[in-house]
Amino acid sequence: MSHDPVITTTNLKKRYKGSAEEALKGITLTIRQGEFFGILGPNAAGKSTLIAILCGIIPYSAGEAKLFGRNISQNSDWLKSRFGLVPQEIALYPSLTVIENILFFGQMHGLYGKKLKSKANESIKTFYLAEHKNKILSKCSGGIKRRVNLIAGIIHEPSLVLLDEPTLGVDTQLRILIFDYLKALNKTGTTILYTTHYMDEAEQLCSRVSIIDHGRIITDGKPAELIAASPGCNDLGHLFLNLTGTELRD
Amino acid sequence: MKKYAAILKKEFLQIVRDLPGLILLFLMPAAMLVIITITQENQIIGTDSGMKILLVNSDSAALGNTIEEELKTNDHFTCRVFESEKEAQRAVSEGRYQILLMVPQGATATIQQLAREHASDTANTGNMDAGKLSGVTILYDPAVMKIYTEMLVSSLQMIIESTAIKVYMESYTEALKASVSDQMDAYRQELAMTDFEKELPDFPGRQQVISSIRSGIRNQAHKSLKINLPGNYSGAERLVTIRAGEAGDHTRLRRFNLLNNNVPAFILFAMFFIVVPLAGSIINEKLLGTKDRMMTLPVTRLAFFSGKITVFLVVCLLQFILMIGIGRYFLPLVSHLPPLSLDVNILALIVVAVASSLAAIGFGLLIGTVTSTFGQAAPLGSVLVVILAVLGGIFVPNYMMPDAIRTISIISPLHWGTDAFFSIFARGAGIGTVWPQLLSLLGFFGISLIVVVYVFTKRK
Repeated sequence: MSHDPVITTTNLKKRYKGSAEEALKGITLTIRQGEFFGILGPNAAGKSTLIAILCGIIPYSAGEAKLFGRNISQNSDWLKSRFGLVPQEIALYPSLTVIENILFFGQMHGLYGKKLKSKANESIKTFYLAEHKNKILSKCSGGIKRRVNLIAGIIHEPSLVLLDEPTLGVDTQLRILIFDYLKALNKTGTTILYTTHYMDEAEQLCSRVSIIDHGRIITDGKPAELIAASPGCNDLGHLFLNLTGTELRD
Repeated sequence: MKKYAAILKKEFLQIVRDLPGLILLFLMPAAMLVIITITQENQIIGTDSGMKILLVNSDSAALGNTIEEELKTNDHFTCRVFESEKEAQRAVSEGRYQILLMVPQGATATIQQLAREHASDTANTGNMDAGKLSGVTILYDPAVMKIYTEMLVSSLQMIIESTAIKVYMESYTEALKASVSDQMDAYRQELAMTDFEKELPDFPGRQQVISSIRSGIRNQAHKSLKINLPGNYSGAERLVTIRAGEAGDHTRLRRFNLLNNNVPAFILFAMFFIVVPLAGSIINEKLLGTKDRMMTLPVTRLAFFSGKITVFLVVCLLQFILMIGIGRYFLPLVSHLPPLSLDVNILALIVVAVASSLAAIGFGLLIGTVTSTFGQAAPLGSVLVVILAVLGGIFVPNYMMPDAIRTISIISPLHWGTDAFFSIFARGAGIGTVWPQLLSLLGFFGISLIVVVYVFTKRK
């Protein structure tokens, strides 16, 4: 497996229109192929802004951002077809059924016919959705919606998956299922960028993390090395609080 | 194409699964069409109209000039004078003016001649020869509701008749004066002969002759003046013939009734009513995050919107068919109105229906794009539709509006649509006539789409 950079940002900045403060104040990072990379930070640290920029949903104000060596401002179909986004909110169509949502996003990713059917069936099986597949999404539980939201971002087997707090509001059982799935996906060589508030998740899943606060990276490295380098910290949670403090955020 | 088909399917499923919303889309405009048409059937409409009248005054003498002055100073009309009869007829048949009054050359002279003949002692006032009378023509826009044309024609008839009587009486009085004076002179001449016997020589039987002549003169002195008073005519139809009819090519004109007016009007209203669900669908995409998610997928912006456009185009065309069906089959059952005639240019009808649908879709997309919540979109969209409908002549015909409102109304896409439908239903128009409205509707859709695609996908 090559370890070419998949995501590269250099002094990446973002200021929202009308905002006095920059949401990102010069983020520089490199994520290589096959990494399970965690972005950790308190609320309003800039995690979702970074993901939105990398996906091309919002433009950056200064610096540079590349996916697969190409500037993301190109916003090309080639780039779009190589990554999958699993957003924090359930970005699905509530009046469609579970299977209709999965098929629709599969088609939008360029899957058709037998391939689409096989991928959809595989996902349904993996995420235990067979008995729910014909239910209208708005009538499904939060756990089912969360699973469909995940499938819609990975059905096309992208090289890079960006997950923005994918376990928000899910129970332990589903969390374990998602973790197992993501670990297996990462083992196949898929690069994963994962944002979360849960430090135990990051410690368990990520090969490398960056902790960001107020739009800046305050530390990055392998979780175990970061913990070892911080006296008095026996886990990532302690390290996180040491670095970001206990002050409430937005 | 496959992505377009997938988006189309998604949009279709979304709309058919919102059954109450879909029913309201059809039910509400249909109910309005039925209720308003039945109400209007027996409505008494005021006479204070703001109609535009064209005058072609080829007479340029007392009758024509007085009518022109009367019309120009009448608060109920806006009068404009045209030189060319042909141009004026076209302006009315195209609906730019509601009525045309044509006073022919020599109209005054004909009335004056008539007055002189009546005033002369040899005139026979018993039977008028209609061929000798002045013929004034009134032509009206076939798309104007009958109640308004009848009201206008009747008002114009009164103006024409009273003016004709005035002109006639002036000429008659003058001619009568001359006639009386001539007769008096003649009698004076005759009476002047009373001393004739002095000139007569003596001859046998002279006295009998003188007696006979005197008796004749006496008889002459008792002869009354022959004065014909203008009391034989019962109205100005004896002075002026007035021909009233529809302007335009009579082979293409359709019999106008309330349905010709209301069905097209409510087709447009129904179509623009989609603003609420369409804008709602756009806002849903924004609030759910599917819009952002779609932007990360290899899908063109146009493909994203094309699904919505196609589905709502089908909805609009179904509304169109429903409204036509109500006008043709349902309303004649519940009212005294004849069925809506479809003896019209069907191609033009379909093209205008599609163009109007697209304009309505463009409007819905715009509202959905410029608003952020349902709370903003629903009142903004529905109130704007009502305002544009009023301006578009849906509730009150455009030609009955005050000038200022009529000028503003040209910004309403509903006005373009209803105008095109009126032309097809009432004026027998084809695409060749309604192309300006078609271009406006399609132009509105095109501009809306450009704005929507730009604003909707503009990254923050």
